[in-house]
Amino acid sequence: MEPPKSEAAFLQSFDEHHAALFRFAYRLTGSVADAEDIVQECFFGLLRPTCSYNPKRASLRTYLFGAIRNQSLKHRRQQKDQPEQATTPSQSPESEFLRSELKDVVSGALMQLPDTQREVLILAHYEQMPLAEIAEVLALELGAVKSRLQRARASLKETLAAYAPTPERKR
Amino acid sequence: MTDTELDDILDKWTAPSAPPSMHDRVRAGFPPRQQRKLRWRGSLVAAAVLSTAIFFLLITQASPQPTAPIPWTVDSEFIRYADDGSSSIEMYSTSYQSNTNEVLLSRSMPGNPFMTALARTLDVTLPPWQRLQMRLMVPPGMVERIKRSRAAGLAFITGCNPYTGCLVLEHFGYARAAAGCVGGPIVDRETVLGYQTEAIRDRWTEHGRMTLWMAPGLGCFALKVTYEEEHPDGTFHLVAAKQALKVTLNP
Repeated sequence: MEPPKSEAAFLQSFDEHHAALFRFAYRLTGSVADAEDIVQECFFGLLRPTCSYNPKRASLRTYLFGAIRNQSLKHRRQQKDQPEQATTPSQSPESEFLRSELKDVVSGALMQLPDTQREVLILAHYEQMPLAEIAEVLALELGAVKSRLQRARASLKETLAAYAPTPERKR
Repeated sequence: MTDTELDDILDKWTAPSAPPSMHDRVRAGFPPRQQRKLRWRGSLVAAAVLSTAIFFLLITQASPQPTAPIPWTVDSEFIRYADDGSSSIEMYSTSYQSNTNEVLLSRSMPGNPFMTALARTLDVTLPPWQRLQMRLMVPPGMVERIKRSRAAGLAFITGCNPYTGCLVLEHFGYARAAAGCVGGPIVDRETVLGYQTEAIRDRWTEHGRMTLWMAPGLGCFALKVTYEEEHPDGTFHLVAAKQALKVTLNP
């Protein structure tokens, strides 16, 4: 697919891909506003003469996921450079569970993962992207994608162990 | 914890839907952006043509034909790089650095005899016309100032214009430094065709940079020039280059 040149083609590409890209950006940054800005900027990037998208090298979807990933990483690096905001003291799993919904715990656990593992896990689990396509998006070998996914899942199993269903509940 | 249990827990983190406002902004933003892009491109072409015309006016008026023999000449090639990394030669030139300006002696566009003929015709016919314009339109006091400014600077042919091709050449001028070639931090040192060079870097566009490798031992002639554009991830890729092929002493 060529980079969209007309308004109709551009909006069609947007309609086709923006929802998944927004979810990916949101899960990488943890912010709706940042995800919105990043997705919008990546689409407008397609209109620039300097756009490096080449349909012979990758599909538009793969290129856009890669662009979202790069922009999100840049954004996170900029945020890390800023002074850290005060954080609440860590809670025990029980009290934290009472205070927050499980989804906050999960998002927090994912945010604790290294960027390299988090992006693989998000693409594989939440976007159900095949490992070969993840390798293409992240410019990695397939083996590296598999090992990062394995490490991410192992780490999450430890972090979230307290929230696993109890044997009684399983029955 | 089993894999299934982990998947169940992970599924608890649902992402919000993309705000409808984003769709509206992208839809509304397309035409103005296109217009801005066209206006920007038009302004850039106009600025490039105007600056090139002014430059020609300045150098042709302020640079009388050299009476001394030319000490050396440099044969160069001008290369354009495509997005897929492939390259093509846009132009070959022979030039030298005289009185701080790079003077073009001849040029040719490989595989394009029509453009070569047109460019050579312009090279011959434009300078007298520009000298005449300068004489009629520029006050004598300004001509003197131009001469003084030229004597204190260094100007280079850096490449072919990205929009018009090699019919119009890109020129950059810098103030001459007290020591070395031009002011600014040296970003690289390289030996090109046996001549030591020192490189300076300059912004070319908002998303581009230009690097010039000048040889102090060769009148500060720029033996190598590269134009690079920035990727969204902050890395740069080559879009055009000028590369010296041969230095001929006492031609």
